[in-house]
Amino acid sequence: MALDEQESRPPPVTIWRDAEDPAFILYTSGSTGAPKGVVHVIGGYMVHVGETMKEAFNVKAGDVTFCTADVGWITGHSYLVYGPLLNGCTSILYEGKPDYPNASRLWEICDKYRAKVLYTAPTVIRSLKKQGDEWVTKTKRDSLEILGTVGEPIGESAWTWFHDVVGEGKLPIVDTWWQTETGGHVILSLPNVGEQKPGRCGLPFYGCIPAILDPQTGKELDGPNVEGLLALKPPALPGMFRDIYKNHERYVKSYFQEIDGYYVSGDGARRDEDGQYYITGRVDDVINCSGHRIGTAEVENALARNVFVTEAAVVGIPSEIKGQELFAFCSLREDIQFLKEKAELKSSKYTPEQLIVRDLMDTCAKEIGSFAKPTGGILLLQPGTGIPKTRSGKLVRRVLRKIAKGDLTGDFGDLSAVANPESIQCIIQAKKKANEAEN
Amino acid sequence: MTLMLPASSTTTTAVFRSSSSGRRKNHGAKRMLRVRASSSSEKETQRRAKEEEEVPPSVLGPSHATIHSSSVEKETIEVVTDDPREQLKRYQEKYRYSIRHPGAFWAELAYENYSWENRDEFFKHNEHNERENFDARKGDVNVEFFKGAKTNLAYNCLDRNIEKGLGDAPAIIFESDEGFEREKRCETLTYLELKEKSDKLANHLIYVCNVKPGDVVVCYLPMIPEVVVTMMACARIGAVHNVVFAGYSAEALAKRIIDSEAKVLVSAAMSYRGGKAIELFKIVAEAEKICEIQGHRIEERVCHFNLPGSEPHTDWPKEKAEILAAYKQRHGGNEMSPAWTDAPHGIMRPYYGLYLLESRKLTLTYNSLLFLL
Repeated sequence: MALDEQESRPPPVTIWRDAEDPAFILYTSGSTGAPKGVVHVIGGYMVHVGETMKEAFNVKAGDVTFCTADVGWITGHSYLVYGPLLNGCTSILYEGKPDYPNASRLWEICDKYRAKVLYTAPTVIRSLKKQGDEWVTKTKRDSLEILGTVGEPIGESAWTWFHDVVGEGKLPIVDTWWQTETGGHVILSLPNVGEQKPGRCGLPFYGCIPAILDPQTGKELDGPNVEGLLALKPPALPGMFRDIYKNHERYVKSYFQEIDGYYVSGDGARRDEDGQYYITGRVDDVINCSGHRIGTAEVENALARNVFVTEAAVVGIPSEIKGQELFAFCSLREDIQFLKEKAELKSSKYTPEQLIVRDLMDTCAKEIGSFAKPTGGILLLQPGTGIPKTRSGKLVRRVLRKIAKGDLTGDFGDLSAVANPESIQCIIQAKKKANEAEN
Repeated sequence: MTLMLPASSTTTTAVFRSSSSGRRKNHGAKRMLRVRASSSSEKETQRRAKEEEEVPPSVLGPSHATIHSSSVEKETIEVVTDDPREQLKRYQEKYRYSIRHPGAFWAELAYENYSWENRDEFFKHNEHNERENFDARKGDVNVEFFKGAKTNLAYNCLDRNIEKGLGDAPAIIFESDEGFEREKRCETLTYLELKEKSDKLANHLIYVCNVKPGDVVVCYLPMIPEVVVTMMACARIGAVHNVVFAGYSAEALAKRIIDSEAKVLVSAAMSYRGGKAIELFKIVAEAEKICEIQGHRIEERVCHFNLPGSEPHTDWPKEKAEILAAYKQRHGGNEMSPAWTDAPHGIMRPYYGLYLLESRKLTLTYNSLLFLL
């Protein structure tokens, strides 16, 4: 058999490839349409990831690093696999959940293997914080020298807990902002460079120039104390993605043509008087839920494929642990009175609404994955209600977001662009009814 | 413009590595030096990189005044301070240089710290190792670094470290979930072991799966050491890996397989998290079905075996008859349903501690049958 042959074969010849040949594809969600296959190349990615690993975490050969990200995301690729191996480090690959069998697990792993660097996500930190300090304090954590975070802005309270309780006030917190598209770190707080401040992401890595753009005019805002869209301008970082797989047009259009001459990241940021950056979160229709990047369009398409639903809108609402949660508005295909007659919706335990909601949750899990369930809530809308849209057919997410968060005052500012403003009142009524039913 | 390269490679690495402890940093640099010096006596080598390592730095031409402006160099070699303000100053100086001369900045690091097939020819003579255009009005948007330089990620991750003397150092420590009646599994792969395993898989990909440089290999794998083995195997042979998060559903996986036009799929039997076991093989089979309906066929698959309580295991059933018998025994004498019995032709073999399912001509349900025993 062929496998036996492999046993006796000499090791394969290393294929030397051009630095600009593709190394891997990694799919990520965008604000519209299907997921994008981000293409990274061999040479630039290698140098960028190897060097950022070294600078950010201060590692040398033989150091033990522990990155808790899943290998299926870019953080896993860059700082669980390639970064540590390029630097001769030992990388801990932990299969399970951070709180299984209990909330000490991560710290126990750090102790067991004498990890020097722990690189994790704010959502993990928040969920472990909630379980109480004793899970942390009963472990030693004396091998740790650097704590890193990635995935979303780390709020002040999570930062403080991470710094004071986990790091006992002694360890530098390296916050990092970067994306699937950038391949490696872009903005970060290098250990011991400048003063530490909770919630502050840090300074640009070598060789890159971030820019803050005015969201209305697209003009670059110079100087300190400005806030707007976070973009990058040349020179490029070597680890920057080179293309969207088989779709160069989309690459150019969705990242570089929104504002000509800049790579527009989709995140918002503020620059303070020291030139340090604070990340304020997504400015487009992408939701960051437990560090997973979820495109609202993807979830909307999934929901709309459900048999009970004709149209769906998904927005993000704030969540204490996950950062953001998905909230969905779904227009029903038929009046709920008719649906009640359907055999599959007859149950002694659950109302038809509950059964539909459950079915919609399953749809999301099936089409995308269980992390894409609208756990923030699903509001079912009677047929004919409609979802507020502009005349060009774009969902008015601003209003939907407010309603999802529980703002039912109906005071949503200028609605002149909305083609069907009457739908807003209907939705508010539906939400009120749902709230009552819940109570 | 000639490329700016410092005279001594080890100083470069030491100079700008900010550290929480300066003392430790210098030790680190010295240790690296020793490691490097001893590397030539190591037996385990591939000749190419060895040649590269042995190129004396002086061949590279004179050093230039670059980021290593003399004042910084003197200061950092001897006096290393923990003072964040001092470090900030050093950062700023290096940052200013990096954005003024990005091409030289990155080429220097690329040259110093990584292996390239044509390292000297390329980095000594190449003036255009970095270019980009972010403005579509001025032509095509693109980013380019080190075009024309030849390298290999697996070589840089594994062989380069092995040559430095890190062959027996652990590369990956695996800590299992430890739930689901599963034996506790902690596994360490040293750099040599990781190379050995990934080489074997690379051979399998080349000779059995017919993977060519530039081909896409989909990896639907959970957090197990095999995922690193697979990534390294792909990198070694110039294949493009497309790792799909193992929490994605069959639909999402199928979408990513089809979009990336992958013909080869590497997967695992199970995924374990929080005491729960997820049967990945079922998701894979379903995804393949979806692909097939949409006119895309997976031609070759490799499955890493990680069944409950199964590592290491030596007595896997090898033939269809054995599988059927085992099933019958487990399920109180019941025969397997006919829908399944037609399916498998896969043969499992122990494979350097990994278990691969070889499945050249399998139908969609090959997995289901083997794993439902």
